[in-house]
Amino acid sequence: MFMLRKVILAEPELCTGCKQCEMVCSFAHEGAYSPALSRIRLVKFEDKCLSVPVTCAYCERPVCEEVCPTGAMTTDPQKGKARVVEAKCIGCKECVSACPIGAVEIHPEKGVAFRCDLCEGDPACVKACPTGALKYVPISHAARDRRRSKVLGWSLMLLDPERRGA
Amino acid sequence: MITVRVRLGGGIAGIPHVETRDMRVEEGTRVQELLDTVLRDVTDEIDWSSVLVAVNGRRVGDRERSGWVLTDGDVLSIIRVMPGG
Amino acid sequence: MRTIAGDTLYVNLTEGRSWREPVDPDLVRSYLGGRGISARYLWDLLRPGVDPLGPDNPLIFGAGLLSGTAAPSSGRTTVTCRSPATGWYLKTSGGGHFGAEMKFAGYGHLVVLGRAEHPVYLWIDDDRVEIRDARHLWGKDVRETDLAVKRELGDEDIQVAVIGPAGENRVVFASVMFSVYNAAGRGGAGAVMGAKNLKAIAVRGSGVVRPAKPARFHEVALAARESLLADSGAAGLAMYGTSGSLNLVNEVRALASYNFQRSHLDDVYTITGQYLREKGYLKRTVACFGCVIGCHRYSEVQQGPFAGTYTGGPEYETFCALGSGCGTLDTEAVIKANELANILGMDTISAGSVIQWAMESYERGAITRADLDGRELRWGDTEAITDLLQKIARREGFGDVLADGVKRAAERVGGESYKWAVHAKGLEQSRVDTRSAKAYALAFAVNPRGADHLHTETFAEFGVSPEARALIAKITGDEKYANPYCNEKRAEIVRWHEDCYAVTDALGFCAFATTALYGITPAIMAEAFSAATGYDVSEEEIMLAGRRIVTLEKCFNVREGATREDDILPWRLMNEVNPDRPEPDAINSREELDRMLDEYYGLHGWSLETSWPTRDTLEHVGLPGVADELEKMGRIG
Repeated sequence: MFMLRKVILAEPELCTGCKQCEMVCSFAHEGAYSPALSRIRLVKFEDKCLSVPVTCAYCERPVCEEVCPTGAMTTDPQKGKARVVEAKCIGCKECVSACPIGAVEIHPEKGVAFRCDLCEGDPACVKACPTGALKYVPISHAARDRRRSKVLGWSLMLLDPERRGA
Repeated sequence: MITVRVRLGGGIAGIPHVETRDMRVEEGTRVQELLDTVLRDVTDEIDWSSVLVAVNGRRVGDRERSGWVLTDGDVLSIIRVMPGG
Repeated sequence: MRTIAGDTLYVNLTEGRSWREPVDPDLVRSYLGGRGISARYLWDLLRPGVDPLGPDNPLIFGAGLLSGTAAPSSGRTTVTCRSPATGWYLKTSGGGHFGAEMKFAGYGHLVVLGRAEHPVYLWIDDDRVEIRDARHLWGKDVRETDLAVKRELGDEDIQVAVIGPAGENRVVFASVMFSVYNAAGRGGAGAVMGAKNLKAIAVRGSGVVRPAKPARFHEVALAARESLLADSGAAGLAMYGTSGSLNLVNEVRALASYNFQRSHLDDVYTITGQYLREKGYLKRTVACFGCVIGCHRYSEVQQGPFAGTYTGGPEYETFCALGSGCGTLDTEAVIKANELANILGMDTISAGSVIQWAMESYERGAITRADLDGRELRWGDTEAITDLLQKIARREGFGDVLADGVKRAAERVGGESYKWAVHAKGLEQSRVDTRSAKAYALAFAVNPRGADHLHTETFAEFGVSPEARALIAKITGDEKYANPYCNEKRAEIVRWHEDCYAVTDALGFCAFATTALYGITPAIMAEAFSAATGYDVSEEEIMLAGRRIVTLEKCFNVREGATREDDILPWRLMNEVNPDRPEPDAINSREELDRMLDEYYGLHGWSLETSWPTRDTLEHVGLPGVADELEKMGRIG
């Protein structure tokens, strides 16, 4: 069922910028530690101590796959996760430009595209995140949780008698 | 009767800051007894591993509390504490 | 294939050139990495008696050996040189992400030599190293410089180490700032950098850090993470930061207030981490590289006279140094003062310390309005604090006197003002009243860089958590020694902490993971080191390496002329009983200090008379060459 398909959801307000996600991701895929080889990257605004995790959003109509001239950029229909067929990838970088959030890069040694593959359904970054800023949740939950946390903020404000002008 | 100054807070018993009040108690009152009195109405679960109980600044370990006799003018601290430095 | 230690990058600013060398594997075996290898480099490169602000004082950046891996809380970076504040050995360390980025660029150490003719900054982009003009950056504050460099180089995700106006003006407690708000704060490394005309160091690393045994290392890293998070204090430290402990320290009458005139205040709630969170000043919690705790704070003031303030912090020391120490509990004023110290690039402990000293000097009439450029300077005057911070950074007016540190300021003002200059070896004391904390007292007296805790961090002596009590019991044989008023077994406690802390720093771990929380043990560090390097090292062996590092740092001071007389505490704490704990033992008396020093030197195998390590000790710890050199100078124990 589509709505039960899970994605990695990032909450920047909870991100401390520790980069454990980048370390375990690069290790899981490459056997060594390197942010440049991580499929999840933090975008930082250090003067505001703000850190925003960015990884593949698992678009329903992925532009990276549409623009790929060789069919290297695929989604595994069974598992619903991305797969780059390295043998077919020519490193043309169309996917890098096409991705609206910059979640695709070219591997510096292999010269092929790489992006998040959800680690066979048990994302390492989500397990490593110490604050819960990364969650692996069904799509149907993502919006629901967001609504509730937003409404909670409002409802607390409304419940405060001073605020209501009582 | 003796007077003991009680300092309570740091997040324990719903007091985020530190409240100080003087209490008159029987001579011979022990730390544990006064602790029980002060916290009698506290319903929340107390995590004792993060509570500092001290007399005049000196920590009183949980095994010492039932034997430690308070004297007039003592300051008893019951404060939730955190690591740091 | 590069090892986990990375190469050492040398930059000679006088000659305008750089070169790199792989790290000698023997150095890794003997000194582990980070601070340890830096200590060896400093010993070999520095001749005694060199001007700390001259071109011959090397400035050495050391990434932790394990920085740039999944090892939890392993991103600390050290800066090593001769201190312009004290003339003694200086190791200062900072958090953030600079050291990890050095590792991804392929470097474990950066040795900066000489002095540039005009302001420059370094750009280290993997293999490419450039010395770039920084004249347009000179004068800018830390935050402005960080952003300017990032924009100039076209990448806002690089790491930059920066000095502010304080470093440019050689304020002796100027800091080097990593990731904007993380200070390698103490001892004046920022002044050394400024004296070299080095405004900033920018690093970008796209490479790989690879342990010798990757699968085993990763396994150890994950286990270390669980162990750290299982410590009973972990959640509290994450929630409230280091300033969550102010209540504790206040309650045991060790909270430095009013320039150490007071050690216990009625209610310090407004300068605690709890209050920052409760009132919404805390906007985010922040972590250094790899840290699963995230104790750093990011605070904003959105209303009131300081509206618009935003900064990393405040931490424990800052809340004391620029808060209770100066006679104020005004949260917003402290956040503002912290912001200023950060962007001007100054150590908050020393800055607060000199201001408090000045406040007391004014109170006692040792200085007058005329000295203070027509101003008054009363306790709690937050406007005066912010004003003085600016003046110190720019060496304007009375700020110029304070910018030389409290020891020299007291010498200049003269009279009895030395009595309330709370420093030892020329370094302003950390904000713990050692009359109520006797392990800290010994630790502060023997620390090679001066009166502070960041060589040992004997927080365990408060005995507040089960882990702390267990550690004290392990070291001394009995939990009862987890009592800060007790002056027995302090030498054993300090020694264990020295060794553990040296290993911690060398590997890049945070001291809060090994000596304030205890989840990362020496045994875990030994396993991590073994898997990272391929050398099979036991807990005993790694603690011996820690001992070696500590001994070498002591020898550095011995070579510069230090004796037992330099291992001392501030006058006030040795001569005045703690007024908030009026008991006969609430003083760091000469007799007590002498007894603790005798025990400490005895335990270390150093001469009781001079404090100098003996030949036997030096050979036992693996420093025979150092023994030879000191013997030739007649400075062997």
